[in-house]
Amino acid sequence: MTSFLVEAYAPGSASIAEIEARARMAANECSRGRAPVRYVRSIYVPADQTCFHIFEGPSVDAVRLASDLAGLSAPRIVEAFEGRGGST
Amino acid sequence: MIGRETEVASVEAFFDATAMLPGALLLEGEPGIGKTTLWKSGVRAARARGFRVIACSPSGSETELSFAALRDLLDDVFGEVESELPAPQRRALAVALLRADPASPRSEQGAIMAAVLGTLRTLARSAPVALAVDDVQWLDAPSAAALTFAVRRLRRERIALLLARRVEREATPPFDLERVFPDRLQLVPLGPLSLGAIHALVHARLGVVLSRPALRRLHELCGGNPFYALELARALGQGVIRLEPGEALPRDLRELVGARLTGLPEQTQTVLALAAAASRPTTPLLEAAWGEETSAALEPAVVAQVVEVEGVEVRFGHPLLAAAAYALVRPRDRRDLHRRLAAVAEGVEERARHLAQASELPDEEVASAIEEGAKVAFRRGAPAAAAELAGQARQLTPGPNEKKARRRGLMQAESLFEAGDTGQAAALLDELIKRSPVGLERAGLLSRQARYRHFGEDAGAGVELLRLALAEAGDDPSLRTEIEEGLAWGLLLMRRDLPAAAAHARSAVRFAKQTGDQAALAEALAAQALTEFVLGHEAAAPMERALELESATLHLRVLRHPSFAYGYLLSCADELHRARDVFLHLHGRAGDHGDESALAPILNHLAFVRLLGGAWDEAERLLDEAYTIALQSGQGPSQASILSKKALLKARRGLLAEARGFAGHALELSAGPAFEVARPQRALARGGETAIWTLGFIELSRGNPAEAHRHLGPLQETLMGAGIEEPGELRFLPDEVESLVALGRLEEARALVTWMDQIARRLGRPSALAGAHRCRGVVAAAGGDMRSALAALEQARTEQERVALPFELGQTLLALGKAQRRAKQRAAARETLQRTAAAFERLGALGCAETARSELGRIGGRTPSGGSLTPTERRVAELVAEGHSNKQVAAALFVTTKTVEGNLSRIYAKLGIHSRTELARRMMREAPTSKL
Repeated sequence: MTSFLVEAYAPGSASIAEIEARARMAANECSRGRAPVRYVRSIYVPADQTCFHIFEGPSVDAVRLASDLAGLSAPRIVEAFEGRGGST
Repeated sequence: MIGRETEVASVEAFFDATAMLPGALLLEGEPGIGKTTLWKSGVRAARARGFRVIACSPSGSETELSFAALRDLLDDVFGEVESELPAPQRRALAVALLRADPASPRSEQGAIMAAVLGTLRTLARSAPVALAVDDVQWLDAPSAAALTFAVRRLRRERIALLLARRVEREATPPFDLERVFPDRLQLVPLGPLSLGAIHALVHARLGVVLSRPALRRLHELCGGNPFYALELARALGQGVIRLEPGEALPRDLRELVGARLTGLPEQTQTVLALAAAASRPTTPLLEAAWGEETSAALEPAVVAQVVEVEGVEVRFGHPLLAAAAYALVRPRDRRDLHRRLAAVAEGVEERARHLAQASELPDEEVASAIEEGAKVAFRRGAPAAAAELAGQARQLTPGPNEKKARRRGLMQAESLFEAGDTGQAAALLDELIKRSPVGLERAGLLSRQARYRHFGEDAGAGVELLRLALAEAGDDPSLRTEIEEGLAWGLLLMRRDLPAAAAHARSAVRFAKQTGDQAALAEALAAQALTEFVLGHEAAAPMERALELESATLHLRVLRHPSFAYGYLLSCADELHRARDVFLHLHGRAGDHGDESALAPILNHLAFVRLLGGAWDEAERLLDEAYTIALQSGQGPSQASILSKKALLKARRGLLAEARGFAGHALELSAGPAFEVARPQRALARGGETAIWTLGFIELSRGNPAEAHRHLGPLQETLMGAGIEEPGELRFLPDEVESLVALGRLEEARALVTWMDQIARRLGRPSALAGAHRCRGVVAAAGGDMRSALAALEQARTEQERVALPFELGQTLLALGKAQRRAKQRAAARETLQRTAAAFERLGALGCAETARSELGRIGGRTPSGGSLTPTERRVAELVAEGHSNKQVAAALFVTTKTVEGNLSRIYAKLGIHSRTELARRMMREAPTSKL
């Protein structure tokens, strides 16, 4: 499974918790179908009214499907690589 | 709407809060920031909530076209409301909306404004109304003025204003909204969009996806401006720019938009410029102006989304595109475009506007056409637009045509005056007068200048100008009518040389008959009637004739209608009911015509009629209303006159300190801080006459006859010296007689009374006869001849009872009662003085009532007891102590409850008590009381 970064417009009134919940539900919905998609996490940048979501899935199309299902207004979906973080 | 969720919520909440109406919401921001999109969303929200929406979106090219915006707003609803509007307003609005041709030569600006207000109110009766205006900064001036007038007068109507305005620097909200709706004006500034919103926008509209660096660069360049962002994204998509570091990019939005247009074929650019120059571009108009088919030329612009063509209407995607299309063309070519549009323009005014922009050099044919446009604009009720066009016509008049240039200058001045810009009108006239040779034309300019600069402010200077004009006017009938009439009014206003005023008025009538102008004749006859009237001459014939011709004057300002003079004559001649009817009718007429300048003077006269008739509460209310209007419209002499009447009313009520305050203020307004009692002329010319009378009355009431005479003596000398013999102009004379009597100057008093008597007998007028008899009685009593005094005062009573002037009746009865007491006719005196006190109390003249009660108390040597209570107070105290309510006491004594309350306050204060119980205890200690 490949990681993808979904860059979506999130207006000020949006609740990050609600967006996360929708993203998770959409990913689960897609997984019940033919394209398994896993929601990983989101990072919200209020100043830019932008939310970055990390999904794992087989392709951009599969992730776009999940993102559309979640109602994310996502102009951009690109392949991404995550570092391992603070653990050694 | 991407990026405007908060603003959309604000707009929707505004339309949800109908309890807060009337109110306004103003969207503001720089060009391209998204105001129109949000405004349109607001319009949809209003409709969805059941609002009746009337909307307009003026463009930059319509700013100079009179009432263009009003037509967009009201044309569709005119049929619905026209039957609810008074006829003058209906006609005037129809002309403004180009549904009818102007029928009168004067500007109907006032009637149009009143019609707009009436229309909004009518619509709001059946559903809340949303008045939506996009790009408010481009409203044409006459429409803006009419809307401002209407908005200022909204009170509880369910009307919501949704406005959008381009703001490039700080500016006050339109329509005087900050003052009119201090708590109900919402300002919604539209700021830049966020990075995320910009990205969502370009993706949604153009399908463009940007890398993070490119997005950052684009956002930085456009500053969050959505229109700019879309233009950049479009240019990016076309490969015109790449948004790479170090790349040379367009400096600003204008350059970017311009670059978009320069990429179009030359023919397309030219047709776009033509469309931008036209106020309402349509394909037939463009083809007629261009001379050939335009669809093919417009096609590339349609594909590039610069314009869209809906049916025959051609609309630019954004005003910035129109501005850019116009700016791309060279000035020489722009003039050619305007020339083509002038050739096919339908309206005279529109043609004039295009010609003005097409012409660089003076050209008589062009100047003449623009002058025609000015005339049409004036007659349609757009004097500001007419002034602008007349000014352009003047500038384009070729050098040798000096006379035509001056004529156009005069038209410009007249239009400026009509539009309310008196200062500029007067300044322009000064310039024209300097350039005019001595003769007929200059006489006309001088006459106009007298009216603009001086009447209302300095009648003396106005009269001097008119005398100069008269010397140069020759025998031209129109001009002589105007000048002679002006002199008649001027001298009348100044209260100077009234015989000359009457001679000028008669001359005006002679010349007016030669012109065949019925309106001018009606005005001249009214001037003749008034001047003859104040001289004590017969005035019925000219007044009747003037009234017969009144219908010819209805297009003039209401104060110039003969009825106004007639109302005044009636009020002097004891015909108070008829005077009231006339002024009420004129008030309605002024409202129907939207003639605000007439309201304060009419209400002032109406108030005085009610004051004389004893309806003092109503008079006070009318004076307050008149003063508010006069203050708002800056009518100085009207303010002074109104305050003078207020002073008199307060003085008659016995509120002497307040009266003095109002009189002082009135004199300051009319004569400035340097008012001299011995030289009252300036005050007389500017509404201060009644203030001087009031100050004299106050001094007399306070027992200061010397001070009273100091005010009233010069007043009498000035007015009688001017030739005035109309008692209605000299109502203060009885007070002057009393002052002279109190000063022991009986010979002077007798001479004045003889004069008053002669006038009164000649006129046969009851109030004048009553005044003369009363004064004769007072003088006789002072001389010790009680028999003659009583006879004269009885005659005064008889005459006074024939007319409804309750205060004067009270004064007559008081004088009679005093004389009867002095003549030891105790029973008669008691009855007269009781009647007097009751009459004054009914009126609310508490000071005079107190005087009557004091006189009553002196009959039979009775002295007040119970802590110096007056007889009235004693009676009230007795009845209250017996347990009667204030209402019962009032009924028993034939006075008002208010009077009883006033008496009780004084009783408590004098006896040092605080309750009815205490009063009852106190009275029980004294003599037994009477029963109700």
